[in-house]
Amino acid sequence: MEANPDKKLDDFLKKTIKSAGFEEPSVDFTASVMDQIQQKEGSKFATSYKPLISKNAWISLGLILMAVFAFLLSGEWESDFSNITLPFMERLSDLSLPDLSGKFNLNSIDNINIHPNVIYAVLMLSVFLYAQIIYLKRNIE
Amino acid sequence: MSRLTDLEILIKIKTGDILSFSLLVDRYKYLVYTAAFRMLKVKEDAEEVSQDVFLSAFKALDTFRGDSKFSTWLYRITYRKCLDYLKKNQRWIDNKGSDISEYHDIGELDKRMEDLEQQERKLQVRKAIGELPGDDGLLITLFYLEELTLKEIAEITGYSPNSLKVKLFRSRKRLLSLLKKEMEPEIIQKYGG
Repeated sequence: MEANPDKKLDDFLKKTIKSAGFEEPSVDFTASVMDQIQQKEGSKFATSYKPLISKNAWISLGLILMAVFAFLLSGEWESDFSNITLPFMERLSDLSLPDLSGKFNLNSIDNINIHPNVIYAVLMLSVFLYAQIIYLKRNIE
Repeated sequence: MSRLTDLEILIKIKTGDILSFSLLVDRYKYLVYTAAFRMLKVKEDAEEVSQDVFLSAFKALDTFRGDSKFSTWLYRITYRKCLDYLKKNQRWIDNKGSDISEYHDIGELDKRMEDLEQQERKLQVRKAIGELPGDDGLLITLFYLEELTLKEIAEITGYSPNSLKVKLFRSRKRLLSLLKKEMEPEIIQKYGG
């Protein structure tokens, strides 16, 4: 019998108290707290920038590049890329880019025969990679 | 963008992103301030102590193990800071309240409160809770507003679940009397002209 009035009171109080909600602190409460934290504790947490490409990523890239060059220099491959012509490459030759094929014909070392398209590709990649890094750095800062 | 969990924010802070702490402050400032206000009953004091709670919480973030809710941890810090503040200012928690009245007709009181404007009702209820002695207001808030269990409230306050049961039993009856008292001017206004 006791349970009923108690339950009724409980339900009433729950509804009433929930309707009153939380009290409100000042409008600049958060800003004030963060100011104090930055003043007192900020020096301990100097902003540390994480590099875009981590050390490990660089090492891996370096190793991959070395492997690729080793493979190319080893001469244990044979392929004739002269027949492969993609549309943009044709346009490239229309723009009369410098003829690099001669410059990379290192006669003193046997088996080096890098196709000009590879050179163009690497050059363009480097240019765009560099541009991207500058753009990203600027945007993040 | 989905909301970051407390744990995700804590990880960001630990990696040096102090500003992410503001997300936690925004999330829990109402809770901490309400708890402080229930204990201290003065807005300026509650504001000061609440800010101090977050400063202390920030310094002690490493000690938060995640075995309880972050809100429970904050409540515990708030409760202790309030007790320290009251002690320092020689305002001891006085749990001697007015006599608990007889059982009231809740139905009628409920109806009268519903007739009030929402904002007015809010103010009346908050005023009544504010008049509860000692830390009763906080206990009532934790139990009815936050719906914490007796075990959780015991963890925050250090009271045993059994003594909490007794305290809550008394304080809710007191609150009922206070609410009725708050509503009396309204009745006179409505019926007495």
